[in-house]
Amino acid sequence: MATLDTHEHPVFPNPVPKKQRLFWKNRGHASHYRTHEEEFDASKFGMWLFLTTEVLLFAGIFCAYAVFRTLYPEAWAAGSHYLNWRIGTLNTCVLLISSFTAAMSVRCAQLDKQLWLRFNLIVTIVCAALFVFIKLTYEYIPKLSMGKAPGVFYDYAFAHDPHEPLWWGIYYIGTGIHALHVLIGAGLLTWVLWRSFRYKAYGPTEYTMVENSALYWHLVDLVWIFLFPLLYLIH
Amino acid sequence: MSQTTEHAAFDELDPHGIVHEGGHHGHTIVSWRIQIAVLVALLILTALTVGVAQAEGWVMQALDVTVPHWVNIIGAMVIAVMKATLVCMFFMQLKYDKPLNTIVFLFCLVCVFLFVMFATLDLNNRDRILDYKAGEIQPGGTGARLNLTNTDGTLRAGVGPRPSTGGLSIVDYTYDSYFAAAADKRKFWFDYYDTYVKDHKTPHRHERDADDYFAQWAAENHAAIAAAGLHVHHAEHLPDAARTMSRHGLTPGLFADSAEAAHATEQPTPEEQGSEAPAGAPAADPQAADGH
Repeated sequence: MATLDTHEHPVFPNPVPKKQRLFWKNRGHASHYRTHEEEFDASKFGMWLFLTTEVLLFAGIFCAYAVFRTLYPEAWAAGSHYLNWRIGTLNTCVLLISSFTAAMSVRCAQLDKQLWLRFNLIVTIVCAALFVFIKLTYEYIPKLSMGKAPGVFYDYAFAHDPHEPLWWGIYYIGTGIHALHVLIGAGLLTWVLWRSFRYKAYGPTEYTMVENSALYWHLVDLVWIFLFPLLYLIH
Repeated sequence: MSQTTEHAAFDELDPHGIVHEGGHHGHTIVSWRIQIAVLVALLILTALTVGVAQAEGWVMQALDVTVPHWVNIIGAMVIAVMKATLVCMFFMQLKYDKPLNTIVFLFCLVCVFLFVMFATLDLNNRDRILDYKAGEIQPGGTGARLNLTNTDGTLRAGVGPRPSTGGLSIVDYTYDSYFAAAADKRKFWFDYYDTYVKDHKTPHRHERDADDYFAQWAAENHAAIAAAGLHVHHAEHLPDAARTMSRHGLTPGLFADSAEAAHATEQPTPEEQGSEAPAGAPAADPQAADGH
């Protein structure tokens, strides 16, 4: 009988049905790790390294914000008054709640609460969609239709300051790359949800993907925690 | 508050518990009460930061006072850092995690801090002139620092005599120095011409050679050879490397199948010595015979 080259998990006939193989109780670890524990730690550490590169990506945007704010404070003061702090606060709350449910989905996977794991993932994904919906409906689309566009696309007739196109450039780049991360994070969580539904892939000994996707989602939240006051509140 | 799965009993074959505790024994499962409390704290802090920003505008309008700009920024950023710390510690579980992850993340944040700090520091101070530097400004500088003399009598290791501009500005001093050096160079070539070219009718050298170090070196050699009483225009007094000569026949008999080379090897004639002297035949080499 052919066997799989793993150390830990039960030996199945080959080929093993995918549904059986991906069930969390049947998951082993790669042969170059001694234990599943080590594989989990290595994977999580790699995720943290990746998150640092994400932080550095946004650091460039924050640095540009700081530099242009120092150069053109009037444009920045005018810019933050164009944004509605109520919309920003609403989106902050949406993201904070989704971050909470993402953390809870990890906990549910650790405790083998499959239904609650899926519930929390669904809430997180719905919050992600809500965030993007609010952003598009109440911010991007109305502002762009009024001509408040970045750089050379700027066509707003009632500007207070000649450097306002620069403010909109920073605004669209910062929130746009953040929104891209929201979509990517939602995609990751959707994949996790699919695997949870289809294979029951996550449980107390196998939740690496839940954990790493949740970490990514928390980073999205973390970036917004700084973008929100910088763009909406400081004037 | 938080619970950890129990450790297995000691196993002699696996003293460190690597294999038999296959489960996630070290992983903390954070209590839902903590997570709820963190969420509530985050929402309250969000309300607080919005409230502070609104209150500032209200205070400025109602009481007709001007709140300094930094109050707004510092307040919002302090609250944002508090929120970020909560998210990192509890949602991202750095509080319960291996310290390596925290170290990596903090190192990254230090880099970000340096990055943003130096960029803004530079901008904020770019138009400032320190009082002790705000003296007379003159194009090219005043040369004041170069004219300082060492009056305290201390020895400074590794520092040679201080350059002095003699009271001139740096630009004027450099200008004069340049023309002094150019005059020296010009004088050298005039002397060269008078001494070696005009009387001895040696071949003319192009003026651009004056800039060439090797041309000067050659000229000095030229002078030295002339001073030793040697006639530089006679080929036999030049070193071997300066002469173009055929290298055929370096190895005797190498080109033996060539009738011409064989002829040269066997019987070198006086006419051939200048152009095709075989170095492989020492007896036929006139320079070897002269002791060169």
